Amino acid sequence: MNLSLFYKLAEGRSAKLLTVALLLLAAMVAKAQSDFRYQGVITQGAVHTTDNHVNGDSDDSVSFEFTELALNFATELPWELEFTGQGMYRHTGEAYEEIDVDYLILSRGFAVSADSLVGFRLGRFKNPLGLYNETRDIAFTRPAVFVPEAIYTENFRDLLLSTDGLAVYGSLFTDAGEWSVELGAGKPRIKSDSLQSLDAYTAKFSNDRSIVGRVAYEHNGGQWKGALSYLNLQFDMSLSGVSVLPFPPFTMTPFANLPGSLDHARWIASLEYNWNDWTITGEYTLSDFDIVATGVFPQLDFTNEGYYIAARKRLTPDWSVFYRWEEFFGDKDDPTGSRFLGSPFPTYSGFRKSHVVGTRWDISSNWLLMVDYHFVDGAALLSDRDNPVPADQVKRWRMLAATLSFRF
Amino acid sequence: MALAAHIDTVDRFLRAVFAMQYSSLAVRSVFKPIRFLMWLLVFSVLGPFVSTASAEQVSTDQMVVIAHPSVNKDLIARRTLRAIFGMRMRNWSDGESITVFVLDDRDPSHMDFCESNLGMLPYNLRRHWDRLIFSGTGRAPIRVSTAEEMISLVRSTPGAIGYVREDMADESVAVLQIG
Repeated sequence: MNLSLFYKLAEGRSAKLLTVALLLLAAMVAKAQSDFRYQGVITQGAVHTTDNHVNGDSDDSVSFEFTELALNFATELPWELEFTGQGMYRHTGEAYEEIDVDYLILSRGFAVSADSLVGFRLGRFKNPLGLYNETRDIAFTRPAVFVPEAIYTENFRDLLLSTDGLAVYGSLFTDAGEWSVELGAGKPRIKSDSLQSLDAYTAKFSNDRSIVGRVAYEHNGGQWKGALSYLNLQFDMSLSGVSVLPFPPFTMTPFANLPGSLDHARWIASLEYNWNDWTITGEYTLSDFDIVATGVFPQLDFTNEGYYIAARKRLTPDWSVFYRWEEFFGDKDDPTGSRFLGSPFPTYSGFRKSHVVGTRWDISSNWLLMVDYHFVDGAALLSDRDNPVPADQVKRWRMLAATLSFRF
Repeated sequence: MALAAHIDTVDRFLRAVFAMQYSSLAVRSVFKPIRFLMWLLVFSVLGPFVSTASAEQVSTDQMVVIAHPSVNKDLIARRTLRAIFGMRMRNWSDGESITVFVLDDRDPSHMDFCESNLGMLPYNLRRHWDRLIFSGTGRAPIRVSTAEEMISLVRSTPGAIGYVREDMADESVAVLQIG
């Protein structure tokens, strides 16, 4: 770990304030309260690919640049306020290495009746999106070594991850099942290095705002559940640099402080069915991007489409195997990636179709071993930072990945 | 939590991790990482067979929901029970806060309680708790190691709820019927 990490952290003023607040409050509360709980997870992964790089130098080798450390606390404050926070260190190859305040929430719930409640969350809360977004970086709550990237895009993770603001929620418990609604608004987590596709530019962001919401229903104690989530985020940016975006006409002229904006709307539909030893899961997303950067590139308006269907069979209470079929298209109206013809990018960077098989073994309550094997067709969703030369990307490749995790 | 017992484990794990990352040259020549990964795959497929625990003798008595006598109830709706053990409902209707006690995930009594009384699959409940804990939107119930500990804690904690086998529930705790 080097010092630049701390500078990175200090770069965002809100992150700095939050960190100080977190440390002060945590210390204060830990001293005053006997009711102080903490939990942590350490995950170390290993990735081998036949081509292309994932989480470091994995091509024909094994990369161990895949580490996640999370430490959280929860305690009660006066007036039945709940105070929770989590710090996270995460390293995934060239793509990310950072220490971050993952969430820091002051919350309170109110019973409306014997069967319903409402509440609020103030601070940095995880975006309620789909089945996994809130806990995508915790191995124990992930379905496999990697979350389905067709839905939970890694290259866009900061913007999907959390919001600094206010969220309200409500739950209704009926004999048939449980309804829940969450709605939040605030500022998205955007940093200078949040968007890999803007790495070539110097970008400044302003007027960033996001709203996020999810309606979910869980039938009969989780026998099946369905959810519909929505995220809308917008920000203005000011771009400087000399480079190309992976879209026509691949401009190469220098520019400075050109104004731009991004408007992103994401829908996710989720369904999960549990029956004895089987779990069938499916999610579908449409993610619309409207990017304006006048003078840098023409207005871009495209829609990502992604979906997967996964089947898991528990062979023993501690051990399960799964199969997942997953597809992602950068532009749903161009599933073959023909827009990249004549560009530095191969057409197959416009899509990714995977078959994934894997195992999960809960060795004990504290230890977890997961192993995935991916058969992949297409080079979309690869990290530009791990794969800087577009022409080197390979269409058909395979990946073997494992994580060993410990919780305490 | 027996923190001291964990520190040594964490320390050893971290050292192993750092050894992997920072002496990768040595690891590469000795272990041949790709082969190592392959072995991990084989291990994860075969390991569980080797480690399967011996079958335990389990009493056939049914599980019952118990609560501190201050919980002035004889009946509890299943939806409410689910909301409480799902750590969503935090207070009784009179405002008293609820303290939830559970046994280990793998305890046969816990599994029986989940399936028979809650009508939930144990792994679903665990997943649900983990999502609360690691998203900062809730907390896990308090884990106890034995049924005796469960009874004594439920008896001594106002607003507490838990479960035991029917033959163990005595006069000192309230037994709630699910209705």
